[in-house]
Formats: sequence, structure tokens, C-alpha cells
Amino acid sequence: MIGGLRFAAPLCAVERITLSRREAGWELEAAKSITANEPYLSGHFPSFAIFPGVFAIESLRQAVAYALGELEGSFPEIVSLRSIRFLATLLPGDTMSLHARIGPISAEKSFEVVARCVRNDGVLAVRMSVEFRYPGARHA
Amino acid sequence: MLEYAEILALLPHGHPMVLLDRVLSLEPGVCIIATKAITGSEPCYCNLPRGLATERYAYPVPLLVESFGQAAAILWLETVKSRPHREDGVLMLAVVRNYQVARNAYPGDVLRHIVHLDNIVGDNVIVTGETRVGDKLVATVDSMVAAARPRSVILERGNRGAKVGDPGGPPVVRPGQASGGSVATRIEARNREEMAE
Repeated sequence: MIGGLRFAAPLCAVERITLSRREAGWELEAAKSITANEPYLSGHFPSFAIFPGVFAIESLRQAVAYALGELEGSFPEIVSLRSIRFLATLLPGDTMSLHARIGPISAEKSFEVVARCVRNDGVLAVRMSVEFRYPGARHA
Repeated sequence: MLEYAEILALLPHGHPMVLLDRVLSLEPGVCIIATKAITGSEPCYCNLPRGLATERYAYPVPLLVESFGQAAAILWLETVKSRPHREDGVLMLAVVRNYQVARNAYPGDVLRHIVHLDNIVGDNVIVTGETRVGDKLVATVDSMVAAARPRSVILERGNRGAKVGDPGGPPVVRPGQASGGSVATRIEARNREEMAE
């Protein structure tokens, strides 16, 4: 389980992260159990709960931040959502598995992550291609 | 201009997931400008330890995207309100293409989303636009596609494999819009290529 958040986030969006070294980068596996009592979920929607698609992006954000950790006091942040495809819904009771290929990290401290979120029934729910960067290296 | 009460009446979302406060201008079928004030009392700032650096309070990018998407949803709702079957429809985010973050937004900032409607293809709406705080650019997005789906389809367990991003039927291009070179057609072609990877 992941400890307390150290940056603003709409929910604890990831549990059980594993990170493996793969050639120039990493491979990341993570999971998230979808429950109806998340902070924002009572409003999405009031009469029926659906895990907001953007929260899958948050899951990736948190998994990458916790897996790679701080650099000069900063966690890596999203600088570009190159391509996101939401293919199927996630509902309370579902478990989402996140599979991501990370890196390598460039000289500018940025890196690309390609990820898939798979529902526990095997259905591909989200595909993502996201660029992250450690903010200390952000161009003005 | 639409005030918060009117936004609540339009969106299916409820507190605290309503991430819009006011619509400054709205031209159905064309453009919407809407604002969202970020405050430190929002749920995304709860339970943080004391003593964190300023940038740890950056408004989470996924919530920036959701807030922008809700402005797009109001533009779509006001564009199609004369059409049938909108009551049961829920607009689900289907595709985001090249959303670039230019700077962080923080508590105290008022986000201003400027959303342009590119096209409506069947039950899918395609928008483009940007988010600013004052005159400073926060983010730009090349295209965002949302799909209107009946609640019954979204929630039905037997239909769990349904793809939210797929058109409900054959693509319908509005009269007067080129079919071969439209943004929607290009996006769908790109998506097919992507799925075939």
C-alpha cells in the first residue's frame, strides 16, 4: 500500500506498485481497487458512480511519482498528454491493473510513459502516452 | 452568462465533482468561455502534511482536464438541446490528443477555459481549446473527443466490453462539413491505426 500523499491529488489513485529495470528505462505494474467512497466520486455521478476517466491519468501520475521518487525535492509531473484513449468504464467493485513502460530519462529530466489500464475482467479500459518531467528542469 | 446554479442544472455531475463556476460566454455550436476558481479548501488539498513546497500545491493536471471537459460538455449540451434523447445521455471523455501543460495553476487562480467546437460526429463531440489564468497560458489541447452514452448502456454489466469511444452507429457528418478531411475523420483514422498497433 502507498503511504500519505505529498502533493495535491484528487484521491489515492494507486496501490501495490512494482518497478523493474528494463534496458534504458523501467517497467511498472500497479493496481487500484475502485470503491464508491472516494472523495470526488459522490459527484460522479450523484445517482450512479463511475470512476472518472481522468482519475486513471491520476493513477499513472501517482504510480510514476512514487516509483521514480523525488529528484532535487520534486516529483515528476505531467507536461503533455500525447494520446489518451478511454475504451471502457470502471465502476465500483472493479480492479484496475496499470501496466506502464517508462523512460529513459532525458538530459532535460523528461521521459515518456506508455501505459494501459486493464479491468479485472481483462477488458482494456485506458491507453495512455504521457510525457513527464521533473519540474526543476522545466523550461521557463 | 450562466451562473453556478444553471451549471448544476445542466451537468449530470454533483458536488464536489462540478469543476466549473461560471460560464462567461456561450455560442452554441461554436465556442464557450467558462471559469473555475481554484481554492485550497478543495478535496484535492486535504490530508497533505504541513511544510510542503509551493509546487506541491499545483492543481492536479487530471482535474484541469476534467474542468476543461465540463466546459466542453456544456457547449455540447447547449448545442444539441433541441435534439431528442439528451435527457438520458451522459457525456464520457473518449480521447485526449496532445494536451500540453504550459504552467501550473494554484489555489487563488481562476482558470478560464476557452473551448471551440470542431465537429459533432454521431454521438461524439470533438473540441479544441486552451486554459488560461489571467493572460497566462496554462494548457492547450489539440483535440478532445467526448461520447454521449445512455446511462443504461454505461451501467449494464452485460455490456461491460462496450467501448466508450466507439460511435454508436455509422459516423454521421453534418451537412456542410467536408467528410474526407474533417478533423473527426482524421482522428478516427488515427485511432484505428493506434488500435492496430
